[in-house]
Amino acid sequence: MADIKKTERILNLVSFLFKVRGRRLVTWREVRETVAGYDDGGSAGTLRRRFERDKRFLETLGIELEYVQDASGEGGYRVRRDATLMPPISIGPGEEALLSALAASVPPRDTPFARHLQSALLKLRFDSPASPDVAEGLAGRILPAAACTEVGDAARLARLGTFGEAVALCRTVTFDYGGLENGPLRSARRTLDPYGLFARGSTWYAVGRCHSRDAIRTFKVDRIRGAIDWTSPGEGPDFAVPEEFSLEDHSNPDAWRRGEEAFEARVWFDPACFFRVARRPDARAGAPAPDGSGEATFGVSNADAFVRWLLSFGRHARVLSPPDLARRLAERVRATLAGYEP
Amino acid sequence: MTTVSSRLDRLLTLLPYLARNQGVSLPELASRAGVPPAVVLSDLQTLMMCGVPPYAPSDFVGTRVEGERVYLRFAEHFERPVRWTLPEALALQVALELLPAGARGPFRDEAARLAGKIESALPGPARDRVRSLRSRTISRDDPAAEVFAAVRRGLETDRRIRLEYFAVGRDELASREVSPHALFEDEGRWYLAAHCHLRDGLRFFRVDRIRGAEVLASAARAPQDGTDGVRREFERWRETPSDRVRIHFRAAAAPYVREAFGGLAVREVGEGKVELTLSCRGVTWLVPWLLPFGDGARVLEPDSLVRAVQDACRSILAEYD
Repeated sequence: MADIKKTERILNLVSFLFKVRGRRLVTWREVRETVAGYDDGGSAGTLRRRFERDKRFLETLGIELEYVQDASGEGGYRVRRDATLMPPISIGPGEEALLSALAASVPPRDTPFARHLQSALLKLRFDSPASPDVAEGLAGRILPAAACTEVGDAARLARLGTFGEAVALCRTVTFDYGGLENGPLRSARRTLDPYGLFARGSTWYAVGRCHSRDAIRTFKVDRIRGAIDWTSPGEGPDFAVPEEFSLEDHSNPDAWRRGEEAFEARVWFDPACFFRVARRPDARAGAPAPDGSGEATFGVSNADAFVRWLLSFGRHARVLSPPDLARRLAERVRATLAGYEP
Repeated sequence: MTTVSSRLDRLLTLLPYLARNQGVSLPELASRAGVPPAVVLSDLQTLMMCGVPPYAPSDFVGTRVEGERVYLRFAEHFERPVRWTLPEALALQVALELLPAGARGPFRDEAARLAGKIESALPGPARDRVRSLRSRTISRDDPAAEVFAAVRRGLETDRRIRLEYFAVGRDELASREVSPHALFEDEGRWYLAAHCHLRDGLRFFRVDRIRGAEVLASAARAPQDGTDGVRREFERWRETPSDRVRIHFRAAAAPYVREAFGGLAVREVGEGKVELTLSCRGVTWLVPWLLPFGDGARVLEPDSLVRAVQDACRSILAEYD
């Protein structure tokens, strides 16, 4: 009931301010004496406090008021129209299809991220035609994980939303993290200044300063258990990203990039795999041969881990140099075979 | 608090929208707003008490629902929606940057263009923050833009596509002609559902494993049960196990195995070993995942997987002889 009253009162206040259109100022007296919702006979102090609260609430809705004094010295409010109203944004057919796909990606569950995205999309699509004639043949044929009704997907989206906000606003977050070193059921509390986000395939990682270790660490977003909390209220910033930090340098979660060794490995990939390797920015890939095969060079810090990674390509990868690496790889494969001998 | 905010957010956009699109249908409004039609109706109900001084009859916003059509009167002063709040602008940017349907999916170019338009519509401070998110996000190993472009063209024009596809199960790169039915996303990955003319049946192709795609002149064959059928078929395909797998791992590997397949599939069997049991469809796709474990993993069943691992080992060794 209180909610309905508040909704109606705010709507009445906004209606009045919009109707006046900033052509003249709206005084506090006028609000108090005419706007429905301020007419319940409350004391002057109560009504004034209500108005102050409502003004702050209008700001959270995106409505900016300014207080000005006119020539006669009387003060009043008006809507800052430029800051308040959405400018028109033209949206092409392909963009309209993209927006449909984004809208369909949002799970119907009521998380803050889902709510903000829904209302943002609603505003963005304001100027597009009622029944969009979106890229005819594409309509209904590009399907994001629409049914996103599974709890896992909704929670995943909520985590991404929170991290996106944390990175943009430089806000510190804290969460329970189930790192592999702790075993699957144990987790530890971590506090992180998130400097950036990167995706590898379908997996997102957050990288930043981990408070408990006071060092740059990478966290797999899907290994976070439960909710992610802010360490302080407000819109940040809680920290500054150091100038020397480079996301590029920290955006490779592969174990072969972490270690004490330092050597270059040259690897040949056959046509079945070279095209995927060549899409990796950390592989210095040469031009493909006419058959689609090719060579790539990697900076390796952990040879064993690199061997393991190469093995996932099976026969489609062959170490060209250094010879020692080729020897270790072959040894590992021989040991695997030996394991199956009776 | 939340319901008041979200209802007002919605109303402040629906009001100007209705004011300029008289007679728009209720389902259309609901789908735009991302809420059920009943919620829109109760939003409209709220408007009945909304007006401007001196609150004469024509000072109240009037709503009328005729059949499925919605009409609005006396609300011309709601000209445009209010600008995005910072959380809204950020949510939009997060969606564009991070969601599979955004900058990493089939609409890569559109996402970049749109992000630019959104930025320019934001006030300065919000723009800086939204922009900083973009510069602090990297995504790698995404399918190639030109593959998405070709698949989209095939879908749009209903023409066949020639794919060069790396099939993990068959461990080979092969060229096939397909009739595209739909592009869909599952757990962050994009798949092309298409009728494969080589195998004469519906197949699902992971887009990141497509090396090249070329749109052909010949017309595509239409999906049998529409796009809904395609999705159902995918679920069925994934959830119909045909093989039972048992593998022993050294205990050190247990956390990785648990992460990949969930705790329930893994149990300790003594002698510092854990056992993974799985029911799945086909087994050869497991080979590239198993090889890195070396002799830390040993397949117990089925025999076909044992042989596949052994064959893979021999063909790797052949590369070095």
